[in-house]
Amino acid sequence: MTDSEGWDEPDERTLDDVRIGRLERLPGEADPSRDLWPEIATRIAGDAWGGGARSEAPAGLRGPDAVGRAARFGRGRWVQAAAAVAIFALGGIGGWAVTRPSAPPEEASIDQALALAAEVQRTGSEYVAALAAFVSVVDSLSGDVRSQGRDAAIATLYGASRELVALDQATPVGRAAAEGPRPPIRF
Amino acid sequence: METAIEHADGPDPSLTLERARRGDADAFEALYRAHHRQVHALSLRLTRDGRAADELTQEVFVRAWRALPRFRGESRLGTWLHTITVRANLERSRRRKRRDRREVSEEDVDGYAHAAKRAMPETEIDLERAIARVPDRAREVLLLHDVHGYKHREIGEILGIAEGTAKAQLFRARVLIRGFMEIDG
Repeated sequence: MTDSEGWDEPDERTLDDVRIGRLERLPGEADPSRDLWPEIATRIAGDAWGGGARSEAPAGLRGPDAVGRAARFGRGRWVQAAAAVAIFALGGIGGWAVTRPSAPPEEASIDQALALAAEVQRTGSEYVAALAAFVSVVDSLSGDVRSQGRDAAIATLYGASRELVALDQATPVGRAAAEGPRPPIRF
Repeated sequence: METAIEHADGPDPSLTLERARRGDADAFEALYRAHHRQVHALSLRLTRDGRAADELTQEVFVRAWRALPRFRGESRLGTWLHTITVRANLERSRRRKRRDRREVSEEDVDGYAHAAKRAMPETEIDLERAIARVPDRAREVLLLHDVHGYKHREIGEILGIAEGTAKAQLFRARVLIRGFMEIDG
């Protein structure tokens, strides 16, 4: 052993060599108390849709079909992460719906209208499923992740309520939507 | 130092790294699976707390994800992750105003020993207890040099200190450990 390795007392080397050998044999790997990846995945997905440091959505988490991807992965941790991801994505869509300029009126065929209504039903079901999945894991999430997911979910609901009012304000449902939730965050 | 990805991620780990750099979360998960246990071992010994170590490990990989497009591969991925770990822990310590506290309580040491035994069943608890008593900067150098096998030059780069300072801190840490172990018998 040399001075450059931290020792300069030759008469102590033997005992210390033994001790240093024990230090060097200590394990360099350890198991976390739980699988940490789902929360990491949620956070990096939040980056993607929440204006984080990375400007692009991660390819593996991109798009509104994140819940479907989770099912294909067939892994519980991905279900948790992707559910939150879907909420972030839908939250972004909701915010966009609130702030986008009004589109000019267009003539639509019955087929187009039915297709659009079916799309509303499909994405609405996905929203509800994703929200239910998020609710099921919310107790295990940190406060920041929980509040971010909640805000995104409410913002989405608010965006939908604005469109419902435009659709029909005369009915009780339309009036309830008009008086419904307010966005906690701005997009 | 060999990175775990080199033997845990198939024939072309650089492809996985490149995919992760371009934003592929599946590739990034592969990097996480290959490296998280190394990062967690350092996190646990730095924080001396199981829950804090979990949080630090998560923070490291979130930061790594954000910084990956700027990672040029000049250092090994494992070294880069350890650098992030040490610096993230430094920020955490500063927030808690516990940086380089000279003494830890026996309760803290007991708690750490319990967490270390659970996370690393094959470890030597008497050594872990002695390491846990070493002040922060000296403990960082000791862990990087003796446990993770870095050279003083590398430690200087990771910690942002002079090579000579790293040597002095290593000497200090070893003397302290010797004393703690003699006291404990």
